[in-house]
Formats: sequence, C-alpha cells, structure tokens
Amino acid sequence: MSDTIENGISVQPSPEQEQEALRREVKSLRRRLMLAEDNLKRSQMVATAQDRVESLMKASVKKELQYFRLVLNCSINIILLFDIDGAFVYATETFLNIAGIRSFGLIDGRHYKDVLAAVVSANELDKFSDVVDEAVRTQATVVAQESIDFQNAGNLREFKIYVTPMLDEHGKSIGVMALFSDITDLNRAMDNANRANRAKSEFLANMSHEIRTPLNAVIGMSTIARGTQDIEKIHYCMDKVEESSTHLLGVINDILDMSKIEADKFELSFTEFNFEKMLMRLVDMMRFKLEEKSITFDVFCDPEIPYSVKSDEQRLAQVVMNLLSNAAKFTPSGGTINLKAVVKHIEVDGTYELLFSVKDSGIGITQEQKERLFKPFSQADNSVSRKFGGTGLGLAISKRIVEMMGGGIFVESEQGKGSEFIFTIRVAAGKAKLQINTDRKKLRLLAVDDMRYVLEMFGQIALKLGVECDTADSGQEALRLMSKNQYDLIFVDWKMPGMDGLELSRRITEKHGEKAVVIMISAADWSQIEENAKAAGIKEFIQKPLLLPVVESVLDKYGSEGGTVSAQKAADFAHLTIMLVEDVPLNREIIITLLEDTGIKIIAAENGAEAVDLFNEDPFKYNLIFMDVHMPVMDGYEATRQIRSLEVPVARTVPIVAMTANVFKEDVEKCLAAGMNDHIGKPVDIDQVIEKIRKYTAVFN
Amino acid sequence: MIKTLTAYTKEIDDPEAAVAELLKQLDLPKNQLKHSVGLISCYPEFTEKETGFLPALHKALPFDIVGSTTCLCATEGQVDMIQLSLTVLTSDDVEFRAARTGSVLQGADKPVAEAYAAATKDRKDKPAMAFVYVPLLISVAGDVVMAALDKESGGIPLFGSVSLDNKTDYSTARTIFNEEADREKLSFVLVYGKIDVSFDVVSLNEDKVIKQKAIITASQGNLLIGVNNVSALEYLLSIGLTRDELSMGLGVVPITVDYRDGTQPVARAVFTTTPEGYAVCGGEMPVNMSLGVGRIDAADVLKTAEASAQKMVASDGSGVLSFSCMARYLVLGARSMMEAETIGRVMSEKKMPYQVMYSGGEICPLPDKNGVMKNRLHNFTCVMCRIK
Repeated sequence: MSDTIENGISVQPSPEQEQEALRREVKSLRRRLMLAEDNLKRSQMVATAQDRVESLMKASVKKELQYFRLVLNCSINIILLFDIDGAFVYATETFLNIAGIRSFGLIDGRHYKDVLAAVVSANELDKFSDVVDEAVRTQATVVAQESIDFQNAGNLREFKIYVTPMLDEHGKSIGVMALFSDITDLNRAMDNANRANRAKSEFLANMSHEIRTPLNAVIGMSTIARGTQDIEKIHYCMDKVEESSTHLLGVINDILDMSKIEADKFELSFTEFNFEKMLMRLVDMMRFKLEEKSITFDVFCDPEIPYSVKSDEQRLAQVVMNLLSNAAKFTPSGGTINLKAVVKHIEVDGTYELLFSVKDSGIGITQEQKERLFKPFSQADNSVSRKFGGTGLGLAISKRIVEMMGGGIFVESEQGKGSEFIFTIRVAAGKAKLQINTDRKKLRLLAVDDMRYVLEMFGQIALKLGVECDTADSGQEALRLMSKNQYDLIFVDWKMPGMDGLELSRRITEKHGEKAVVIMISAADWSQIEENAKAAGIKEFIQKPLLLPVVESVLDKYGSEGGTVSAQKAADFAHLTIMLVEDVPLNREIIITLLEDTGIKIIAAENGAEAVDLFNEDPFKYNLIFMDVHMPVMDGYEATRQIRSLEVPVARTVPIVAMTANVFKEDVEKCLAAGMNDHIGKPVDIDQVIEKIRKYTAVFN
Repeated sequence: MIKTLTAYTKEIDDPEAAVAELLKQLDLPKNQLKHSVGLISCYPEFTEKETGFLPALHKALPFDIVGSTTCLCATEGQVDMIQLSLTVLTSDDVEFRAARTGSVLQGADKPVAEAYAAATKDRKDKPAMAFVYVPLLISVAGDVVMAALDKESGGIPLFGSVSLDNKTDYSTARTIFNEEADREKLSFVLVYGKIDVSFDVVSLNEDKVIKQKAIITASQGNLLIGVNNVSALEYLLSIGLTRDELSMGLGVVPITVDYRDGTQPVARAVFTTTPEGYAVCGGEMPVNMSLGVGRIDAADVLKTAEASAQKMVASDGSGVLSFSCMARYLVLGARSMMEAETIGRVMSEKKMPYQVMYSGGEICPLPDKNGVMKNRLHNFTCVMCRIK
C-alpha cells in the first residue's frame, strides 16, 4: 500500500490499513488463481474435443475425396487434370486404357504434350493445345470437337472436348481440366434416327399415295356405276371397287402390323392347323393372279412335314403370301415361281425346323437393295413403290414374324435373273393325324403324268391317304396298266408328249365306260378345256400344284367302297336360322345380301339388349348368332354374357360368333372371355362366314 | 439518436468505491440526455447480495439498469474476468422501458406476457427493438424464452445474451434488473423511437463443418431426440464423438442447424446427453432441419471477431455491443482475453465506445431470403450490434 497525501503531508498507512489492503490483494489473487485454474481445465477439455472433431473432419474430407475419386474412376469420359505448367495431376482409367498407359504413375507430373505426343497425331495435339491455351487465356470453358485416333489404332473417334481452367480465390488460373466425351456412337445414333425419320416421312407420303389410290378407285367407280344403266359396266365397276377395297385393306393391315411391331405389341397366336390345307388356300388365292400373267407356278411340300403343326397359321400364311405376291409382282409374264416347303431339321425335342423358299424369275435385286430390304419404311427403291405399289412394310413384317417363330429370313438374288426368298421357322407337330378313311382302303388309283416328280408326289399322297396307287409316265403305259388292273379313279395330266390327257381319257371312256372316273390334272384354267374334257368323259378337274387335301377331297367326292361314285351331299343351309346382331344398317344389309343365296333365315337385332330379348322369346329358334361388339344400349360382350346366363340350357350352347372390326389378339380374347365361340373380323370375308356357319351348324345338318 | 457512455470497475470489495468510479467515468451531469438505460455485464460476485453492489449502483443511477453476469467482459480497453462493464444508452428522442419477468422455469410464455404488458401498458406504439438478457437454464432453452418475447412483441429485433459465469454448473449465472440479480428471470429493455442499429453475426467457418449432413428427425425444444431416425446420442457416437465429450457440460461440440428459410445456418452447442440418449443443446433443434458437426479454433475466433468488428466500425455509430460465446473464449486457451482485446483494439482505433461480454447464448436477428429479420439464438457465435 502506497502513502497518501493529506494537506501536503505524506501520511503513512496504518498497520490496519496495510493489513486490509494485503487481505484484499490476497483475496483478489485467490480469485484469479481459482478462475485461471478453472479456465485451464475447461480449455483443455475443449481442446480435446476440438481435436477430435478435427480428426473427424479430416476423415470427412478423406471420405469426400474418396467419393470424388470414385466419380472420376467411374467416368466413361476421358478426364485429364494438369497444373498450370501443363504437368499431369490426374487422368481417368478411360484415358489410360485408350492411350495404352499401364498406370498413372508413369505420366504423373509429366507435361501433357509429352504424354499425348506419343498417343495422338501431331495435328490432333496441336489442336488440343490451342484449346487448352485459349481456356487458360480466357479463364473460361472452351468447347471443341475433334476426331482423334488414339495410338493410331485405326479407330477414329469423334470427341467433344471441354477444357475448363481451375481458378484460385483471386481468379487466377492454377490448373486445367480437360474432358473428352466420345460422341461417335451418339452421332451414329443421331444419323440413324435422322435416316429413320426421313424414311418415315417418305413412308407417310407413300402411304398417302397408297391409301388414296384405291380410295380414288372406290369413289370413282361407285360414281360411274351409279350413273349408268349398263349392267356390264356396273359389274366392271363393282369388280374394281372390290379389288381396290381388298388392296386398301391390305395396306391398312400392313400399317397396323408395323405400328404394333414398332410399339413392341406384336404377338403371335399359336394354334394347331393342317399345314397343307394352309398351303392350298394360299395357292388358290394366288392362282388367278399368276394365271393372268401366265406365270408357271410350282409347289413342293415335303411329305415329311407333319399333317398338323402348331404355329400361328394366319401369320405364317401372311409371310408366304407376301413373298408370293412380291414374286408375282416382280416376275414378268411367262416367268416361273416355285414355292417349296421342306423339313430342314428335326430337333431332339421333336421341334421341326421348316424351310420355305419362294423362287422367281423376276427382275432381281442389287446388293445395296438387299441391305435395306427387310428394314421398315424402305423398299428396295422408292421408285419401286411408285412402279409396283406396296407399302414396303411386308418384308419387315415378315422378318419380325419369322423371327418370332424362331427362324430367320434372307434373300439370294441376282439382278435381272430373279430372286429366292428363303425363311425358316420352328414348329411343333400337332396332335391331329391324318384320319385314314377305311372306305378308301379298297380304292385303287392310277396317276398318269410325264413329270416324274408329280408321280412321286402322287405316290406319297396315296400312301398317306391309305390307298393303292399305280403310276404311268405316258398314255400308252396307262392303257397297258388298265388292261391288267381295275382302277377306281384315274388322274390324268392334260399335257403329255405323245398321247395327251384328252386322248387318253377318250380311250379310257370308250373302253371302260362310266365305271372309270377320270380326273384331269392341269395347271391350265378349266374353262379353256372344259368342253373337250367333258366330251372326253372327264368327271372332274383339279389344278396343279398337287397337294394332299386336293386329292383327298376328290377321293371323298368320288371314292367309295366298291368304287361306285357317290357325290357328297352339298351342305344345305336352308333350314338354318341365324340371329344377326348389328347396329349399323349398312353392315346388316351386306351380311343379309351375301347370305341371300344360302337360304338361311336371318333375324336381325339392332343392339345387344334386343338380341337378348329375341333370344329369350324363343331360345331354340337360333342355330347361330353373329354378334357385333360395339353397339348402343348394350354391347356384344354384355349381350353374350346375358344370353349365356339365361336358365335355358341351349343358352349355354348356342354358338355365338363375334363379327367386329376389333381384330387384335386381345380383342379376340376379350370376345372369347365374354362367352363367344369364335371371331370374324370386319370387313367380312364371305368365305370365312360360310366356313364358320358350316363349322358351328354341322350338328344341324 | 442514441449516445453511448461506457464505464468499468474492477473494485469488487468496496461497492461505494466501485459506484463512485463508475459515476466518475460516466459524468452523467454532463452526458446524460432525456432518456437513459444502463446495460451491465459483470463478474458474478458483483451480483452477490452480500456485496451490496447492485443496490448501491441502482441507487446512484437515475435510470434502470439491466444485464447479466459473464466470465469476461471488456470496455474502454479494459479486459478482465473480475470486472464490471456498464454501457449507458442515453437519448433525447429514443425512449427505453426496462422490464423483468417472473421465473421462466415453468414456462416462459406467461411471465413474458405479463412483463411485456406491464412495460408497454401506457404505450400505444410498438417498440423498435429490445435488448434481452435471458437466464441460463439447462431445462429451458434460451430460445424458448426468446421466442416468447418475439411472439409477444410481434417479432421486433431482439439482441442480447444468455447469462454466464465461470463455473461448470453455471450456478452463479444471473440476469440483472436494477438492484436484483436472479437465476430464473428474463430482463429486457424495450427501445422506442427512431433508431438506427445494425447487426453482424460471425460463427463457424463453413469449411470447418463436416460435409456429411444429417436430418433432425425428433426433438423437443432444445432436446435433440433423434437424428437420421436413430437416437441423437447414437448418431453423435456414430460419427466418432465420445460420451465424455458430449456430457462434459461445456457445449464444446458445435453443430450447425440450417432452418432452410434462407437464413444462414445457426450454430448450436451440445451441452450434455441424457440417460435416454437425447442431447441437450444450446437452443431449439427443429425437426426436419439439417444438422452438421463442426469445429472452431483460436485462429477462426480471432479472425472472425476482427472482421466483424471492422465491419461495425466501417460506418458511423455511437457504440457497439459485442456478445460472444463462452466456447469461443475457451478455445482461446491461455490467450482467453484475445478476442475481447482484438475487438477492443479495432473499436479504440475508431474511438468507438463498446462493451464486450461472453455469453451462454447469443441472441441476434438474421435476415431470411426475403430480407425479413428473424430472431435467432446462436452458440459458438459472436454477435454485434452497432448503435447510432
């Protein structure tokens, strides 16, 4: 304690005062000491905790770096990091792989120009260096596009290059990142997409033409027919309307099929069917067109192909028909078309690999055209569509169908010499086998043809049908055999060297009279030779190509025990009553008119509710119901469900066949699920209608 | 306009001498204007009843005084643990209403509402802001008390501190209102009139917050119950912290809470953990907000304090109040006075009157993304208020 000054005199503090001052000093020191100790203790605890958090943060940063490294390592792009002097700091594995550098350690710290000089051309390196320099100079990302062939490996790739400078907190460049994005595949994809887009545009234009042309014919011919009294002219116009409508339907079907393929909604429906009958139907359909152009049409069906197979009959027929139509289209008059169906291979599980070939002597196609042939929206040449018509979708659809059937399609062709379209499919043998008619067992046939393969086919068909068959390759040989044996049916070819079919028939009739049933076989139109043939005693005429169902139907018609002739009673529909449920008057009129000649009594209902009422009034009246689906008041599904739920037993058995424009697989399935028995697509094919009537009313005959 | 007067005393054993010292520095006859209020920060012993200091001071001053205890305070270049700093705000056009609530231990809403009503009963106008001194209570978060006043006042800017002392159990931390110091009551000053104040908040460096953020999935006020759908303790242990560090009661582990409303993330301290696995934090921990653990070191404390102080003196003002978190004080270790000294140096260079004190929670508004000020309670933070 210091002295105090009182009245100018220095006053010494008293001992008590000194003691008090000392006491306060000690107290203050104690306080401070205590506080300092506490602070120290707490600071130490804080420091420990802070150190721990710091180590956590370091671990966090390390983890973050690991994430970044993972991102970089997984990048499919080439990413290069250089420091401001151009020395390598980092490179992705993608770069090391493409540049053939085993590890980054080999280039770490080396100047990028030294490294890249060894893996890219001098020109490529110069361009890249310019981009790097510009990025550093402008302190902004520079984007460039370059074609680079790393290691001169003959793999020129297109890269989009982004060079970005790394700036410090003062905005100064301290490094560079270069990212190479390989856009080669992207460019190709874009080119393909553009090409496809162009093709679709052309296709649309073509479709417009394809749809308008037959429509124009339909409208034009209808107008002409209405304006004339000349019955021949009206018939001519109606023929053209039918022809154009059929063509239009084909175009629309192709477009619908292709759109389903493109939407990946195209499905097959596998059922069991008679293979040769399918072929026969196709041949029948083609025959007229081919005869018009005087095209020779040969068909060979391998007898090893099962009688019944399991596949999508409609789609298989579509493929064959498409190839035959193309062949007919591109083969000039007097040319030839061969259709061949053979077993290529039988797998251990019993699956058959069938090979189909359609060979023509047409205009052929070039190699370049071949490459585009099976792609949608592209015909061999756009000019082809203008000259020959067609959507250009048929082959693309066919390719998809055969692929879905486990096969493939290809073409062999030489321009000017013709083409051969070959496809394979896999089918399972069906359960149905050819039923041997015991009545036929005693039949004996004679086949006369100068073509050896025709006779062989006859032999095989006869074997399958369980009848005995002799063959003769000439008229003389036939007569010689007939002098020794008795035949129930004699199949005679028309055109043979020496004694032709007509002459042979005459001689047979002369000698054996009505007992001998002579069937003439020819590729020619029956009308050309009908008069002479009948005069020669020929009972029936069958057209080549020769297929089992053709021969079978002749045997059914003329063959019977003892060789007597008994014509099968033709189906008689006159006693049938059918209910037609259809809301559109025109559609009702079409069906009624088409069935007019059959004598079937047709009762029409305008909607589902009316149909249910009519059926309820007299359930036993109807042999069959044709049911439209989309109708006002009550649709076909509901009407079917209500009919099926009626208490009378016949309600559950009366055949109900959908007759609707909804033709997709799911539509058919929906009809069947509602309780219908079958389905006919609109526009209706009268043959199909008759076939369904026959099928579902057989019991009433 | 507000005039700021400052005074200090280290005289703890002689109240009369201490008061005389303060009055001499303030020179009220010369400096006092029409309306005044005193803001105190002091070593807790100044508030002990036995010392008789507060009654003596209150008796000597012709205006209300509010404030709180602290572990270190500074003014006029004087930095000390055993010191009292007094800042007097005086003005002819700005008025002050000091108030004191009842205990907030059983809930803040009612006592705050009553005190606020009493303080504003003869006023129709709304206060422009308030200086608040919140009691440090482990069971009642400072921002619960702050929120009650925020709600009552209609969201006026609140600037203040949570009381503090030098003990690990904070048993002597008190708020001050005139001659009385209390552990459970809120003291505040409502400021009426046209005022010109600006705020600054400096906290954790974003680079020192662990990048892997978590989401608060359950909480109750300042009780952090669940993080990332596990218990708070489980989460904090999973990232490498230890039970000892989490329960030492010092709030040494900073975590940031992002309210996702455009305001900058707020730092929070974890004071301790409960047997149930919850974490007791220095402020509310709203559910769905993101949370990140961080750290702060001495260099950060000094750097941010200096930057903030520089910002405060960059414009004219009559004084600066600076309230800084106790954790910042502790991380300075042996250099524990350096933050206050740094702020003091910057202020002195510009001859700006100031008061620095450490707190158990810093109250200062932050602007949201629309520029609207939202009152927030912070930890690990230094908040400053420049008065003009």
